Amino acid sequence: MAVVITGMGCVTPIGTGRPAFSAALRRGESGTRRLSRFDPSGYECQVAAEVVDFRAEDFMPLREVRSLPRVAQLAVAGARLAMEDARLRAWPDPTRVGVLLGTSGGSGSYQFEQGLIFVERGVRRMHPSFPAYAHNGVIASECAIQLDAHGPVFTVSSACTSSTDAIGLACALLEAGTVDFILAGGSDAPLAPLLFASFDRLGAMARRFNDRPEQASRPFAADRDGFVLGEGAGVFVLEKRERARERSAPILAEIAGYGATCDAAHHFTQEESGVDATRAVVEALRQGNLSPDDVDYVNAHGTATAQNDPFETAIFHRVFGERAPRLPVSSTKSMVGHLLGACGAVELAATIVGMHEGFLPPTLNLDEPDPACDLDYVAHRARPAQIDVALSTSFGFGSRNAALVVRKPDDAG
Amino acid sequence: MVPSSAGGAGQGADRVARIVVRALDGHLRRVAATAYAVDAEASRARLRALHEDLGGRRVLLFYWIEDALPLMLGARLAEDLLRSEIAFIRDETIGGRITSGMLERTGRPVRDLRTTPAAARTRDVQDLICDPGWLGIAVDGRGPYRRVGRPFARLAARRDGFAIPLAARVDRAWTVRAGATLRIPRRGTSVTVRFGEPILCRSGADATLLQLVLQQGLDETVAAADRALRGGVARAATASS
Amino acid sequence: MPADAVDTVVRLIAIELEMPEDRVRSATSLRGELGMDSIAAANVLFAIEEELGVELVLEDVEHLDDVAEIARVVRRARPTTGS
Repeated sequence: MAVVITGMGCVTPIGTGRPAFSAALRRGESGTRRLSRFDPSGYECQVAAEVVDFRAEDFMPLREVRSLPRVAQLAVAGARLAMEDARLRAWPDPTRVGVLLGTSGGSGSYQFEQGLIFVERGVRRMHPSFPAYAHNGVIASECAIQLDAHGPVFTVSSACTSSTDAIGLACALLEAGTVDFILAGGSDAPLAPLLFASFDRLGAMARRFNDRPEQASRPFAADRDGFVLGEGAGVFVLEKRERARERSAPILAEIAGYGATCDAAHHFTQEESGVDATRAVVEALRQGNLSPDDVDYVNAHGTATAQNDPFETAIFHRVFGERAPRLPVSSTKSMVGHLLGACGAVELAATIVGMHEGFLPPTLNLDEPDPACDLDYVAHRARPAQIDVALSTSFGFGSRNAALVVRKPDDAG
Repeated sequence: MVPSSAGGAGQGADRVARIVVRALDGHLRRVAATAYAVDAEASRARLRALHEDLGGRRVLLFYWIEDALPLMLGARLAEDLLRSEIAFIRDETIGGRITSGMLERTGRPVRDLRTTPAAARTRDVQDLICDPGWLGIAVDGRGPYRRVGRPFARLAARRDGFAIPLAARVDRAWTVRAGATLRIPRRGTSVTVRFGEPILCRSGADATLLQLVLQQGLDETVAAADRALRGGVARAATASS
Repeated sequence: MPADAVDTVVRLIAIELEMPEDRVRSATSLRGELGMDSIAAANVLFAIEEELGVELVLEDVEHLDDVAEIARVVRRARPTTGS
């Protein structure tokens, strides 16, 4: 592929903007705290990864601060930061700019809040813009409205692979010549009682670490007991390599390949055989004409659920064979939590920061690995390393699988 | 000449293999009388299409050793499914001896791939690389189970042609572990034979990537065949309509 | 009710309509002159409630068309109960 990333914007539980995010990754900071958005005392899990340093008014007009759903606010902030990072004050031709964002929870939290108002106080008390904000497409269209993108603007919703898919599809739009620039990534703000409660009931979230929130997200650890739900956004400016060179833009990474598959088997988990999951990775490598031997680092989906971590480990054994035990694999969900539809974008951002700055983001809290998880997970602390090629995987409800492979640009600047 | 010690063991194993082959051959004939072929016409059409596309090219049909006997069963039910121009590779594993022995009984050509001595192995490999036609090979006869090994990926690349994943699946079988895993179809089984997408194997291709792609291709073909056997989407749709 | 109700109303309308406060203050008709539609009006009323901690009877204010009238209703409004 000839698509490059020239800017990134992240709004995450460990920092907003590339410098803050990067510093937190390097230090191995946990973004998990006791949930403050609402009272969690009735739930088994009482922790979450909230975005705490985000001031919406820094990114959008005051009127939007009050009314726009948080999921869209985070998206707009991510997109604005990405544009700044790409040194773009304005688009050369706004009609050639698209927005393609992924979300899973999407406007669900907003719908829930407004639904409560409807039931308790009647329709007149509901937000008058509800119909325009209640659909998931709002996260992309608000970015378009506020950042003047007049090309194709839409939202992908494919559970936890949403933003990985959005980035992959964005590459296809660029390669097809449909757009010159595209803001691609994802946003999710699921920290409202409805989704939180249902994940809690499902037993999918960590529950034994309420007294030590920063230790709750424990991917690959023997004593892991589920994910930590988080919120955030990750957005990238993507463009063709030639165009980026023409305008002397800083190239952060090249997107080498994207693979997406579905086991078409189960509502929640992947098929144990991993055939389709592996195919997503193989497809991404093939598109980039890369060998598994070329991969220097893997940012895993690594949710810290009982099912995901050994499953994913087995996939990496299949793909990387004898080299698997020596290949660094980490889960940055140990730091930022599980951002649902935004996880792939934020994890790609972590991967690219590591590639750009020469370090492997760590897996926190990996005191004792699960015996079924036998790879080098970069436990506890970041490690200096040269990353030329990296893989980022995402797996989602509906037995979806997605993989992105990124490569350091030839003229890394 | 084969060294006498290896030759002695080899001859012993050959004798055992011959007995087993005779027994299995009779068994498969009986099973064939009650077996049900799933998608047989589609498999035939697929093979014809592959032949039209790749007729003059070097092709390796590769499959798991556990699919070898089901493949024979499939071929029994559809005579032209394993065309006589496909030569099968006989290695010195138990599974290899048994399956190639059975193929030989049906008059199909067999190519040897000896393990020892080294010179014989080198010569056999060289012959396989140069063989201009279609070859069939079980890739995990030596283990590990259901794994495409690096040597096979190298062989495929050096032939500079195509590799086609081949699956033959049955839903009623005994599983026997004799060095490798063999599946012996039972009476009343369904059987389906499936050819995957041809994989271009260029000489000079990266062996790690090719190994992975070959593995993936065969995994997918087997998964698709298993789905077809379970009824698949088409049959479910028919049932509900 | 604080004496600066007018200032608050003006400021919140200015934010909603994205125009200078002076322009809002001098307008004689919010609808006719500033183009405030029903969605913008509802947004302003919700913002007023939130900022001043009052509960408005929406039917009393939705038809109002100038700042002084809105401020008058706001001054008479009762404080929000509960949280």
